[in-house]
Amino acid sequence: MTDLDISRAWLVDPAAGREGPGEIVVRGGILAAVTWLEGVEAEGVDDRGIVVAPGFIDLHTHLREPGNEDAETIASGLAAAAHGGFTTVCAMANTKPAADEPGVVALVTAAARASGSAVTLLQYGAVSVGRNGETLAALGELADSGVVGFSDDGAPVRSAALLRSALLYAGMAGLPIVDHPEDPDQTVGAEASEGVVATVLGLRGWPRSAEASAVARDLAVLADVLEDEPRARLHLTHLSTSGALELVRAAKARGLPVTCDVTPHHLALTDEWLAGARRWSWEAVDGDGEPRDPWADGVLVAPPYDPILRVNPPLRAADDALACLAALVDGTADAVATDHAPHTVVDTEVEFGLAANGMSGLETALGILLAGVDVGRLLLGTAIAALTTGPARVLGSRLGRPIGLVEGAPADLVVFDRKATWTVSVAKLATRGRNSPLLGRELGGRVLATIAGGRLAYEDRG
Amino acid sequence: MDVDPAGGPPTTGPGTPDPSGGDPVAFARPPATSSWRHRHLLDVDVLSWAEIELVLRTTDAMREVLARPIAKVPALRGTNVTILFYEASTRTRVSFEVAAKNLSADVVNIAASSSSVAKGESLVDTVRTIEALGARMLVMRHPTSGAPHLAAEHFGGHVLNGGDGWHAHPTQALLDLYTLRERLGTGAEERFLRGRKVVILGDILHSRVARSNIWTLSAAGADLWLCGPATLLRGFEAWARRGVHGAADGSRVTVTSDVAAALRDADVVMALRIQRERMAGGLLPSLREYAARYGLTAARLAEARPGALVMHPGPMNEGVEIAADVAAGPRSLITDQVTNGVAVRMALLYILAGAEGAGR
Ligand SMILES: [Zn+2]
Repeated sequence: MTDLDISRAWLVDPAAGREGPGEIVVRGGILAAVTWLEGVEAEGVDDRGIVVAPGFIDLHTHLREPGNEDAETIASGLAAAAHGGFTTVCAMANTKPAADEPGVVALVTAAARASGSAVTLLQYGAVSVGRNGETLAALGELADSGVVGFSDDGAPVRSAALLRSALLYAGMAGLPIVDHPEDPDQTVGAEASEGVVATVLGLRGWPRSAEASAVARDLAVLADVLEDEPRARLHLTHLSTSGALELVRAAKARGLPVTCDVTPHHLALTDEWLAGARRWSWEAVDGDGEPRDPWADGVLVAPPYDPILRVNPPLRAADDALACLAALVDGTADAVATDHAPHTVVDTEVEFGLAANGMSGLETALGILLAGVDVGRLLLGTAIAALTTGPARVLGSRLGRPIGLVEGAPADLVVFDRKATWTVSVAKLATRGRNSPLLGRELGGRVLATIAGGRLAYEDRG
Repeated sequence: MDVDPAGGPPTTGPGTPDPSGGDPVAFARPPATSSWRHRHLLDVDVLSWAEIELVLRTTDAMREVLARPIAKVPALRGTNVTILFYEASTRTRVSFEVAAKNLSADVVNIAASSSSVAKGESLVDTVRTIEALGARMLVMRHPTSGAPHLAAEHFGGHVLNGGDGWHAHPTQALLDLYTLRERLGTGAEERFLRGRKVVILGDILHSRVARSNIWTLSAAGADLWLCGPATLLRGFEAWARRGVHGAADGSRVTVTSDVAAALRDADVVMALRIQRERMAGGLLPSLREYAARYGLTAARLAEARPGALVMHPGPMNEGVEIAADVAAGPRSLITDQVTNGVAVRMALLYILAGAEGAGR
């Protein structure tokens, strides 16, 4: 069990709605003392130095075990999580076999325990048997086995009828349905977000309306089932368009029990990366918020069609990316989720249109968000809340622990240095999925230590 | 035939590799290739106007070779040119093959089927194998946009894009430009399409020919019109609004479904092939309706300027996107396009062979 003394750091406790200079003492894995400094003692401590925050929670992680251990194992995925500052990850059900019955959940839970990692693995169950979109999985049994929600992610819940049943069944257990909103009829063969970049590059367009129309469907079904099952809850994951976020904003305003998340890559990267640009979304617009022209700007520095950038939903234009950022700021988006999707080189060193969807994200999420904080697009407290209290709210009691810097509880926190940078490299990444578009890029906010449930999960050794 | 000797006397500058093997008699002294900055020809969007002009002037020299009784020079003697096509296209494949053979290259043809893509045969492996078998130049066609860019990452020689997905068909765009220069270029004015109205008519959305021509025709100064049903134009209005980088002053792009407005006073009309799949995809009601509304007929062409030129990249669906009498008519440049295709491809093979060590 860990002992740790951190004096004169910048503490962020979104649960208490507080941040500022302070000291942390961990004894035998218990957060023994949290002291907030004031006055003279606090002088010279600011949020640009050492930061201590509650351990991060990822609502959307793809671990590839069982079925595709070449891409990731539970052990390597949890190591990546710890390196990224995450102390809890929620594993999606699209393994092989899918987590559509308690046996698979038990297997994953056992593998997590066997890995020795201090990071907590929570598991989603599939909505449908084999994620086939046809037959409802054994949601009640899965709930009893401890899953934190249900998702067919990788694909949307196929039909509105199935979603209706799923919301009712999951509602009985007090668990959310986590949907990947996409109308597949509109996205057959889609390679990139419909728009100028896709047009110029000759890539098949993924229309933005394919996301909004799926969200509208989901919300309509949710509103309808609440009458029969008021505990029904919907979580929409990796929203990427202003239209979809606008629908959620309105649904929340009228009190529907819906939550949503956005990913680091959708709020900070844009489709112009496919053409070879490498600037953040907020750099891709001018002072009036109008998109800049990457071809005219001479920012196309990388080869086009990098298959690592293929992701579903696809990277969007800057206006949508900035809408994701704005949704985080105004609370429409409850959380940032990584959609960590490791793949093997075999799956990504191929033609763009044949590449597997998804990028590796656990270890770069913090750095991406801090880039937004650095330019004043995001408050540090908002970024941390999106990685802690936001996801905790989505998980509810299934998280099984308090969140925040709480004296007397097992320490669950991350310590990072805002001034220290690190260069993303294969050598530095713990994930087996080397499919990060940020390889070679310098990110701020190096994680110094991650303590999960009182145990050291990661420590920076230079 | 008015072969334009513009651009000064062709020279082979000091330090320029002379792929002709140093035999001045055997070769028509094409211009120096030292201003060319690319190791591969993947797209036309990276070409400067000076580079496009170099292609056009080199093509002049190749036309001269083609006019000889024995149209063969030793420029690429001993060079292995491998032609790797993942899509059937007799026309383009044979054009590249004839071009390479006219330059005395050793040509290897590989017809990979799209099904080998589906079977998971790695393009990267294939490209490495081809290189190991001695290929120095790789001409490839692939149904996936960007595939030649991937090949270029893994190939030590030169990659020529023979068409990728919906994205680019650089040699077609350059042969189209060359063909227009023969008719409309004065030899004095460098951006020879300035003030000319050029219409691309048909399935713009799925057309790599259209996409590549947007860059080259804009670079040459054309007043460019993209015309077709709205379902086959999605995304292009936004591109037109943003403008085309590298376009000559005064060049602009108009996107419209109004065929009469597009053809009015046009100098050039380029019709594109319509494919049957567009019906299955719900993008077109029927070929009959397309032919009736957008087919390039003599009556429609009457709206254009007298003597307006007609082009088509082939293969044609006569009676659908173009009427047979228009295709075979006196204004048609379609056979010139085919002939010039060989000359342009010879020029590009020649230029790339002289571009050792240059960047992408
Ligand atoms: Zn998803």
